[in-house]
Amino acid sequence: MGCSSSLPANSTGGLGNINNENSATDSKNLKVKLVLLGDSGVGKSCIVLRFVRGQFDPTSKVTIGASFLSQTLALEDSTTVKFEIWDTAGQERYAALAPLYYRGAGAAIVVYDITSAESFNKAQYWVKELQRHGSQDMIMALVGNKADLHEKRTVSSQEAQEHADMNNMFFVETSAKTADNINQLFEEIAKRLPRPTPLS
Amino acid sequence: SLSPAPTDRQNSKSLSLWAGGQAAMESPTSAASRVDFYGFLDRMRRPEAADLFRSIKSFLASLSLDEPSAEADGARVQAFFAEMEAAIRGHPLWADATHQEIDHALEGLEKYIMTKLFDRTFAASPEDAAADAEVSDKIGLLQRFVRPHHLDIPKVLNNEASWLIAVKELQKINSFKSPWEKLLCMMSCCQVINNLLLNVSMTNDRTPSGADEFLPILIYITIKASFLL
Repeated sequence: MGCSSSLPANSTGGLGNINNENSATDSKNLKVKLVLLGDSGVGKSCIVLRFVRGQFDPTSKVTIGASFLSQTLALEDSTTVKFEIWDTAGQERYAALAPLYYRGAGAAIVVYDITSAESFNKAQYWVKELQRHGSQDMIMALVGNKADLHEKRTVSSQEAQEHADMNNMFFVETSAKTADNINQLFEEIAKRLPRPTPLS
Repeated sequence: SLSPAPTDRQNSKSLSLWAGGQAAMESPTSAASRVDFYGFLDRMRRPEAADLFRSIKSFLASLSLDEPSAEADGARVQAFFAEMEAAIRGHPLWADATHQEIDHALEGLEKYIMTKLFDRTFAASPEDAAADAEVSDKIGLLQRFVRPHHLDIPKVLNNEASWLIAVKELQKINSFKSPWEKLLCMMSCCQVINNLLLNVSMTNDRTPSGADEFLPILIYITIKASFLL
Protein backbone atom coordinates (compact mmCIF):
# COMPACT_ATOMS: atom_id res chain seq x y z
CA MET A 1 0.00 0.00 0.00
CA GLY A 2 1.38 3.37 -0.93
CA CYS A 3 1.30 6.53 1.10
CA SER A 4 -1.59 7.88 -0.82
CA SER A 5 -3.53 4.79 -1.76
CA SER A 6 -5.70 4.64 1.32
CA LEU A 7 -6.77 8.20 0.98
CA PRO A 8 -9.88 9.63 -0.57
CA ALA A 9 -9.20 9.79 -4.25
CA ASN A 10 -8.77 13.26 -5.54
CA SER A 11 -9.94 13.77 -9.04
CA THR A 12 -6.32 14.16 -9.94
CA GLY A 13 -4.10 12.23 -12.24
CA GLY A 14 -5.54 13.38 -15.52
CA LEU A 15 -3.73 15.48 -18.02
CA GLY A 16 -6.11 18.30 -17.24
CA ASN A 17 -4.29 18.92 -14.00
CA ILE A 18 -1.07 19.77 -15.70
CA ASN A 19 -1.29 23.45 -15.11
CA ASN A 20 -2.57 23.24 -11.59
CA GLU A 21 -0.62 25.22 -9.10
CA ASN A 22 0.48 23.62 -5.91
CA SER A 23 -2.55 24.30 -3.85
CA ALA A 24 -5.62 22.54 -5.00
CA THR A 25 -8.76 24.39 -5.89
CA ASP A 26 -11.15 22.16 -4.00
CA SER A 27 -11.82 23.94 -0.72
CA LYS A 28 -12.13 20.68 1.25
CA ASN A 29 -9.13 18.89 -0.21
CA LEU A 30 -6.01 20.98 -0.27
CA LYS A 31 -2.74 20.00 -1.79
CA VAL A 32 0.56 21.64 -1.05
CA LYS A 33 4.19 21.24 -1.97
CA LEU A 34 6.33 21.33 1.13
CA VAL A 35 10.10 21.60 1.07
CA LEU A 36 12.52 20.72 3.87
CA LEU A 37 15.71 22.71 4.25
CA GLY A 38 18.52 22.46 6.76
CA ASP A 39 22.05 21.26 7.32
CA SER A 40 22.79 17.62 6.65
CA GLY A 41 22.41 15.47 9.72
CA VAL A 42 19.81 17.61 11.49
CA GLY A 43 17.17 14.97 10.91
CA LYS A 44 15.09 16.38 8.06
CA SER A 45 14.24 12.99 6.66
CA CYS A 46 13.58 11.53 10.11
CA ILE A 47 10.96 14.18 10.72
CA VAL A 48 9.21 13.25 7.50
CA LEU A 49 9.48 9.55 8.12
CA ARG A 50 7.99 10.05 11.57
CA PHE A 51 5.15 12.00 10.08
CA VAL A 52 4.27 9.39 7.50
CA ARG A 53 5.07 6.35 9.61
CA GLY A 54 2.34 3.81 9.62
CA GLN A 55 1.55 4.52 6.05
CA PHE A 56 5.11 4.71 4.89
CA ASP A 57 5.91 1.98 2.49
CA PRO A 58 9.35 2.45 1.07
CA THR A 59 8.54 0.28 -1.93
CA SER A 60 5.55 2.43 -2.76
CA LYS A 61 5.21 3.42 -6.35
CA VAL A 62 4.65 7.05 -5.60
CA THR A 63 7.60 7.66 -3.35
CA ILE A 64 11.28 7.80 -3.92
CA GLY A 65 12.44 6.71 -0.53
CA ALA A 66 12.64 9.42 2.03
CA SER A 67 13.46 12.09 -0.53
CA PHE A 68 10.01 12.44 -2.01
CA LEU A 69 6.96 11.47 -0.02
CA SER A 70 3.36 12.36 0.13
CA GLN A 71 1.03 12.20 3.07
CA THR A 72 -2.49 13.40 3.69
CA LEU A 73 -3.62 14.92 6.93
CA ALA A 74 -7.25 15.13 7.97
CA LEU A 75 -8.09 18.21 10.01
CA GLU A 76 -10.87 18.59 12.55
CA ASP A 77 -12.89 20.81 10.24
CA SER A 78 -13.01 17.83 7.85
CA THR A 79 -10.66 19.35 5.31
CA THR A 80 -7.80 17.21 4.15
CA VAL A 81 -4.37 18.47 3.23
CA LYS A 82 -2.17 16.43 1.00
CA PHE A 83 1.49 17.23 1.53
CA GLU A 84 3.92 16.56 -1.28
CA ILE A 85 7.14 16.57 0.65
CA TRP A 86 10.47 17.31 -0.96
CA ASP A 87 13.59 16.71 1.04
CA THR A 88 16.75 18.56 0.01
CA ALA A 89 20.41 17.69 0.34
CA GLY A 90 21.79 19.75 3.20
CA GLN A 91 25.46 19.71 2.27
CA GLU A 92 27.02 23.06 1.49
CA ARG A 93 27.96 22.04 -2.04
CA TYR A 94 24.33 21.42 -2.98
CA ALA A 95 22.99 24.72 -1.67
CA ALA A 96 22.77 26.13 -5.19
CA LEU A 97 20.17 23.50 -6.08
CA ALA A 98 17.72 24.56 -3.38
CA PRO A 99 15.77 27.03 -5.54
CA LEU A 100 14.79 24.13 -7.80
CA TYR A 101 13.09 22.61 -4.80
CA TYR A 102 11.42 25.56 -3.13
CA ARG A 103 10.13 27.04 -6.37
CA GLY A 104 6.37 26.73 -6.23
CA ALA A 105 6.37 25.42 -2.67
CA GLY A 106 3.45 26.51 -0.49
CA ALA A 107 5.24 25.59 2.71
CA ALA A 108 8.80 25.26 3.93
CA ILE A 109 10.25 23.68 7.05
CA VAL A 110 13.67 24.92 8.04
CA VAL A 111 15.28 22.44 10.39
CA TYR A 112 18.22 22.73 12.75
CA ASP A 113 19.58 20.57 15.52
CA ILE A 114 19.22 22.09 19.03
CA THR A 115 22.62 20.65 19.97
CA SER A 116 24.40 22.33 17.07
CA ALA A 117 24.82 26.09 16.92
CA GLU A 118 26.30 25.69 13.47
CA SER A 119 23.12 24.09 12.18
CA PHE A 120 21.16 27.01 13.65
CA ASN A 121 23.40 29.41 11.69
CA LYS A 122 22.65 27.40 8.61
CA ALA A 123 18.94 27.57 9.37
CA GLN A 124 19.16 31.35 9.55
CA TYR A 125 20.82 31.33 6.16
CA TRP A 126 17.93 29.32 4.71
CA VAL A 127 15.36 31.62 6.30
CA LYS A 128 17.07 34.59 4.69
CA GLU A 129 17.21 32.81 1.37
CA LEU A 130 13.50 31.96 1.50
CA GLN A 131 12.60 35.52 2.48
CA ARG A 132 14.52 36.79 -0.52
CA HIS A 133 13.61 34.27 -3.17
CA GLY A 134 10.71 32.20 -1.95
CA SER A 135 7.11 32.86 -2.77
CA GLN A 136 5.52 35.67 -0.73
CA ASP A 137 2.74 33.63 0.77
CA MET A 138 4.82 30.58 1.63
CA ILE A 139 4.07 29.19 5.10
CA MET A 140 7.38 28.82 6.92
CA ALA A 141 8.23 26.87 10.02
CA LEU A 142 11.43 26.94 12.02
CA VAL A 143 12.04 23.60 13.65
CA GLY A 144 14.57 22.71 16.33
CA ASN A 145 14.96 18.98 16.09
CA LYS A 146 16.53 16.49 18.50
CA ALA A 147 14.68 18.06 21.43
CA ASP A 148 15.21 14.77 23.30
CA LEU A 149 18.89 15.68 23.61
CA HIS A 150 18.13 18.71 25.80
CA GLU A 151 21.11 18.12 28.07
CA LYS A 152 23.34 18.82 25.09
CA ARG A 153 21.41 21.85 23.98
CA THR A 154 23.42 24.76 22.57
CA VAL A 155 20.60 26.71 20.90
CA SER A 156 18.11 28.21 23.32
CA SER A 157 14.40 28.02 22.59
CA GLN A 158 14.08 31.71 23.25
CA GLU A 159 16.69 32.66 20.70
CA ALA A 160 15.03 30.49 18.08
CA GLN A 161 11.58 31.76 18.96
CA GLU A 162 12.76 35.35 18.52
CA HIS A 163 14.29 34.54 15.19
CA ALA A 164 11.06 32.91 14.06
CA ASP A 165 8.94 35.86 15.25
CA MET A 166 11.17 38.30 13.44
CA ASN A 167 10.70 36.38 10.22
CA ASN A 168 7.01 35.74 10.50
CA MET A 169 7.49 32.01 10.98
CA PHE A 170 6.16 29.70 13.58
CA PHE A 171 8.58 27.83 15.76
CA VAL A 172 8.46 24.42 17.34
CA GLU A 173 10.95 22.01 18.83
CA THR A 174 10.54 18.41 17.77
CA SER A 175 12.03 15.05 18.40
CA ALA A 176 11.83 12.71 15.48
CA LYS A 177 13.10 10.08 17.87
CA THR A 178 10.23 10.30 20.34
CA ALA A 179 7.75 11.77 17.82
CA ASP A 180 7.26 14.82 20.03
CA ASN A 181 5.50 17.64 18.20
CA ILE A 182 5.86 16.00 14.80
CA ASN A 183 2.16 15.79 14.04
CA GLN A 184 1.58 19.19 15.61
CA LEU A 185 4.14 20.65 13.23
CA PHE A 186 2.33 19.43 10.14
CA GLU A 187 -1.09 20.22 11.57
CA GLU A 188 -0.04 23.78 12.25
CA ILE A 189 1.21 24.15 8.70
CA ALA A 190 -2.02 22.68 7.39
CA LYS A 191 -4.09 25.12 9.45
CA ARG A 192 -2.12 28.09 8.22
CA LEU A 193 -2.43 27.29 4.54
CA PRO A 194 -4.53 29.75 2.64
CA ARG A 195 -7.98 28.35 1.86
CA PRO A 196 -9.18 28.83 -1.66
CA THR A 197 -12.07 31.27 -1.73
CA PRO A 198 -15.23 29.34 -2.50
CA LEU A 199 -16.89 29.98 -5.82
CA SER A 200 -20.25 31.76 -6.11
CA SER B 1 22.26 14.56 -23.85
CA LEU B 2 18.62 15.53 -24.03
CA SER B 3 17.14 18.89 -24.37
CA PRO B 4 13.97 19.24 -22.39
CA ALA B 5 10.75 18.79 -24.26
CA PRO B 6 8.24 21.59 -24.04
CA THR B 7 6.09 19.38 -21.91
CA ASP B 8 8.99 18.60 -19.62
CA ARG B 9 9.35 22.30 -18.98
CA GLN B 10 5.80 22.39 -17.82
CA ASN B 11 6.30 19.38 -15.64
CA SER B 12 3.57 17.72 -17.56
CA LYS B 13 3.42 14.43 -15.78
CA SER B 14 5.05 15.05 -12.48
CA LEU B 15 1.80 16.07 -10.88
CA SER B 16 -0.02 12.97 -11.87
CA LEU B 17 2.96 10.95 -10.80
CA TRP B 18 2.21 12.16 -7.33
CA ALA B 19 -1.46 12.21 -7.66
CA GLY B 20 -2.69 9.16 -9.39
CA GLY B 21 0.18 7.46 -11.08
CA GLN B 22 -0.25 4.01 -9.71
CA ALA B 23 1.35 2.78 -12.89
CA ALA B 24 4.27 5.04 -12.20
CA MET B 25 6.81 2.33 -11.62
CA GLU B 26 5.52 0.17 -14.41
CA SER B 27 8.48 -0.16 -16.67
CA PRO B 28 7.62 1.31 -20.03
CA THR B 29 8.83 -1.89 -21.62
CA SER B 30 6.67 -4.13 -19.48
CA ALA B 31 3.99 -6.26 -21.09
CA ALA B 32 1.27 -4.53 -19.11
CA SER B 33 2.26 -1.12 -20.35
CA ARG B 34 2.44 -2.32 -23.97
CA VAL B 35 -1.02 -3.80 -23.67
CA ASP B 36 -2.35 -0.51 -22.33
CA PHE B 37 -0.95 1.39 -25.25
CA TYR B 38 -2.21 -1.06 -27.85
CA GLY B 39 -5.56 -1.11 -26.09
CA PHE B 40 -5.67 2.64 -26.51
CA LEU B 41 -4.72 2.41 -30.18
CA ASP B 42 -7.34 -0.27 -30.77
CA ARG B 43 -10.01 1.85 -29.23
CA MET B 44 -8.95 4.82 -31.29
CA ARG B 45 -9.30 2.77 -34.47
CA ARG B 46 -12.91 1.90 -33.78
CA PRO B 47 -15.45 3.69 -35.96
CA GLU B 48 -16.96 5.34 -32.89
CA ALA B 49 -13.62 7.03 -32.22
CA ALA B 50 -13.41 8.57 -35.67
CA ASP B 51 -14.08 12.06 -34.30
CA LEU B 52 -11.24 11.79 -31.77
CA PHE B 53 -8.92 10.35 -34.36
CA ARG B 54 -9.73 13.22 -36.72
CA SER B 55 -8.97 15.74 -33.98
CA ILE B 56 -5.58 14.15 -33.40
CA LYS B 57 -4.71 14.11 -37.09
CA SER B 58 -5.78 17.67 -37.61
CA PHE B 59 -3.91 18.84 -34.52
CA LEU B 60 -0.70 17.20 -35.71
CA ALA B 61 -1.19 18.61 -39.19
CA SER B 62 -1.82 22.13 -37.96
CA LEU B 63 1.21 22.01 -35.68
CA SER B 64 3.43 20.86 -38.52
CA LEU B 65 2.60 23.99 -40.50
CA ASP B 66 4.49 26.18 -38.04
CA GLU B 67 8.16 26.38 -37.19
CA PRO B 68 9.00 24.41 -34.05
CA SER B 69 9.01 26.55 -30.93
CA ALA B 70 9.40 25.00 -27.51
CA GLU B 71 7.23 27.59 -25.79
CA ALA B 72 4.43 27.80 -28.32
CA ASP B 73 4.37 24.06 -29.03
CA GLY B 74 4.24 23.30 -25.33
CA ALA B 75 1.24 25.52 -24.81
CA ARG B 76 -0.57 24.14 -27.84
CA VAL B 77 0.10 20.52 -26.88
CA GLN B 78 -1.10 21.11 -23.33
CA ALA B 79 -4.22 22.87 -24.54
CA PHE B 80 -4.89 19.99 -26.91
CA PHE B 81 -4.46 17.43 -24.12
CA ALA B 82 -6.95 19.33 -21.97
CA GLU B 83 -9.41 19.44 -24.84
CA MET B 84 -8.96 15.75 -25.57
CA GLU B 85 -9.28 14.80 -21.92
CA ALA B 86 -12.68 16.45 -21.83
CA ALA B 87 -13.62 14.75 -25.09
CA ILE B 88 -12.52 11.33 -23.86
CA ARG B 89 -14.28 11.69 -20.52
CA GLY B 90 -17.49 12.57 -22.32
CA HIS B 91 -17.11 10.02 -25.08
CA PRO B 92 -19.48 7.03 -25.41
CA LEU B 93 -16.49 4.71 -25.93
CA TRP B 94 -15.30 5.51 -22.41
CA ALA B 95 -18.73 5.85 -20.88
CA ASP B 96 -18.25 2.88 -18.54
CA ALA B 97 -14.50 3.30 -18.15
CA THR B 98 -12.84 3.28 -14.75
CA HIS B 99 -10.57 6.08 -13.58
CA GLN B 100 -7.64 3.89 -14.40
CA GLU B 101 -8.81 3.19 -17.94
CA ILE B 102 -9.22 6.89 -18.55
CA ASP B 103 -5.75 7.54 -17.14
CA HIS B 104 -4.39 4.91 -19.49
CA ALA B 105 -6.18 6.52 -22.41
CA LEU B 106 -4.64 9.89 -21.52
CA GLU B 107 -1.21 8.33 -21.15
CA GLY B 108 -1.71 6.56 -24.46
CA LEU B 109 -2.71 9.81 -26.09
CA GLU B 110 0.34 11.56 -24.70
CA LYS B 111 2.61 8.80 -25.84
CA TYR B 112 1.10 8.83 -29.33
CA ILE B 113 1.27 12.60 -29.75
CA MET B 114 4.74 13.03 -28.26
CA THR B 115 6.16 10.16 -30.28
CA LYS B 116 4.85 11.85 -33.42
CA LEU B 117 6.33 15.14 -32.27
CA PHE B 118 9.65 13.71 -31.15
CA ASP B 119 11.72 15.30 -33.89
CA ARG B 120 10.41 18.75 -33.21
CA THR B 121 10.62 18.35 -29.45
CA PHE B 122 14.08 17.07 -28.62
CA ALA B 123 17.10 19.08 -29.75
CA ALA B 124 14.88 20.65 -32.39
CA SER B 125 16.50 24.06 -32.46
CA PRO B 126 20.15 24.87 -33.09
CA GLU B 127 20.26 26.53 -29.64
CA ASP B 128 19.05 23.33 -27.99
CA ALA B 129 21.55 21.27 -29.94
CA ALA B 130 24.33 23.66 -28.95
CA ALA B 131 23.28 23.55 -25.30
CA ASP B 132 23.22 19.76 -25.43
CA ALA B 133 26.71 19.68 -26.93
CA GLU B 134 27.98 21.97 -24.21
CA VAL B 135 26.49 19.87 -21.41
CA SER B 136 27.82 16.75 -23.10
CA ASP B 137 31.35 18.21 -23.17
CA LYS B 138 31.20 19.04 -19.48
CA ILE B 139 29.84 15.64 -18.54
CA GLY B 140 32.59 14.07 -20.64
CA LEU B 141 35.20 15.82 -18.52
CA LEU B 142 33.42 14.84 -15.32
CA GLN B 143 33.01 11.22 -16.35
CA ARG B 144 36.75 10.70 -16.33
CA PHE B 145 37.37 12.74 -13.25
CA VAL B 146 34.60 12.43 -10.73
CA ARG B 147 34.82 10.00 -7.83
CA PRO B 148 32.12 9.29 -5.26
CA HIS B 149 33.92 11.22 -2.53
CA HIS B 150 33.86 14.40 -4.64
CA LEU B 151 30.11 14.36 -4.24
CA ASP B 152 30.05 13.62 -0.49
CA ILE B 153 28.85 10.06 -1.02
CA PRO B 154 29.60 8.14 2.18
CA LYS B 155 31.78 5.05 1.67
CA VAL B 156 29.14 2.76 3.12
CA LEU B 157 26.95 3.57 0.12
CA ASN B 158 29.54 2.67 -2.49
CA ASN B 159 28.06 -0.27 -4.29
CA GLU B 160 29.27 -0.70 -7.86
CA ALA B 161 26.81 -3.49 -8.69
CA SER B 162 23.79 -1.56 -7.58
CA TRP B 163 25.04 1.65 -9.21
CA LEU B 164 25.52 -0.17 -12.50
CA ILE B 165 21.88 -1.27 -12.46
CA ALA B 166 20.82 2.31 -11.80
CA VAL B 167 22.99 3.47 -14.71
CA LYS B 168 21.41 0.89 -17.03
CA GLU B 169 17.91 1.92 -16.01
CA LEU B 170 18.67 5.55 -16.73
CA GLN B 171 20.29 4.76 -20.06
CA LYS B 172 17.02 3.24 -21.27
CA ILE B 173 15.76 6.80 -21.47
CA ASN B 174 17.19 7.09 -24.96
CA SER B 175 15.10 4.24 -26.30
CA PHE B 176 11.84 6.04 -25.56
CA LYS B 177 10.35 9.01 -27.28
CA SER B 178 7.55 10.21 -25.08
CA PRO B 179 8.21 12.27 -21.94
CA TRP B 180 6.07 9.92 -19.85
CA GLU B 181 8.20 6.91 -20.73
CA LYS B 182 11.37 8.88 -20.24
CA LEU B 183 10.13 9.89 -16.83
CA LEU B 184 9.49 6.24 -15.98
CA CYS B 185 13.13 5.44 -16.78
CA MET B 186 14.22 8.15 -14.34
CA MET B 187 11.85 6.76 -11.75
CA SER B 188 13.24 3.25 -12.15
CA CYS B 189 16.75 4.57 -11.73
CA CYS B 190 15.70 6.43 -8.57
CA GLN B 191 14.04 3.31 -7.28
CA VAL B 192 17.26 1.33 -7.62
CA ILE B 193 19.16 3.99 -5.69
CA ASN B 194 16.46 4.06 -3.09
CA ASN B 195 16.55 0.30 -2.65
CA LEU B 196 20.27 0.54 -2.07
CA LEU B 197 19.79 3.23 0.58
CA LEU B 198 17.09 1.17 2.20
CA ASN B 199 19.19 -1.98 2.28
CA VAL B 200 22.18 -0.17 3.71
CA SER B 201 20.08 1.48 6.40
CA MET B 202 18.51 -1.82 7.38
CA THR B 203 21.77 -3.77 7.39
CA ASN B 204 23.61 -1.16 9.39
CA ASP B 205 20.74 -0.11 11.57
CA ARG B 206 21.03 3.44 10.35
CA THR B 207 18.22 5.92 10.00
CA PRO B 208 16.75 5.74 6.52
CA SER B 209 18.41 8.52 4.67
CA GLY B 210 16.82 11.30 2.74
CA ALA B 211 18.06 13.65 0.08
CA ASP B 212 21.43 14.12 1.84
CA GLU B 213 22.40 10.71 0.51
CA PHE B 214 20.02 10.23 -2.36
CA LEU B 215 20.88 13.30 -4.39
CA PRO B 216 24.67 12.83 -4.53
CA ILE B 217 24.22 9.28 -5.79
CA LEU B 218 21.66 10.36 -8.37
CA ILE B 219 24.09 12.99 -9.65
CA TYR B 220 26.92 10.46 -9.80
CA ILE B 221 24.73 7.96 -11.67
CA THR B 222 23.58 10.63 -14.11
CA ILE B 223 27.16 11.56 -14.94
CA LYS B 224 28.12 7.91 -15.42
CA ALA B 225 25.06 7.10 -17.49
CA SER B 226 25.50 9.86 -20.02
CA PHE B 227 26.30 8.91 -23.59
CA LEU B 228 28.44 11.62 -25.04
CA LEU B 229 27.45 13.34 -28.23
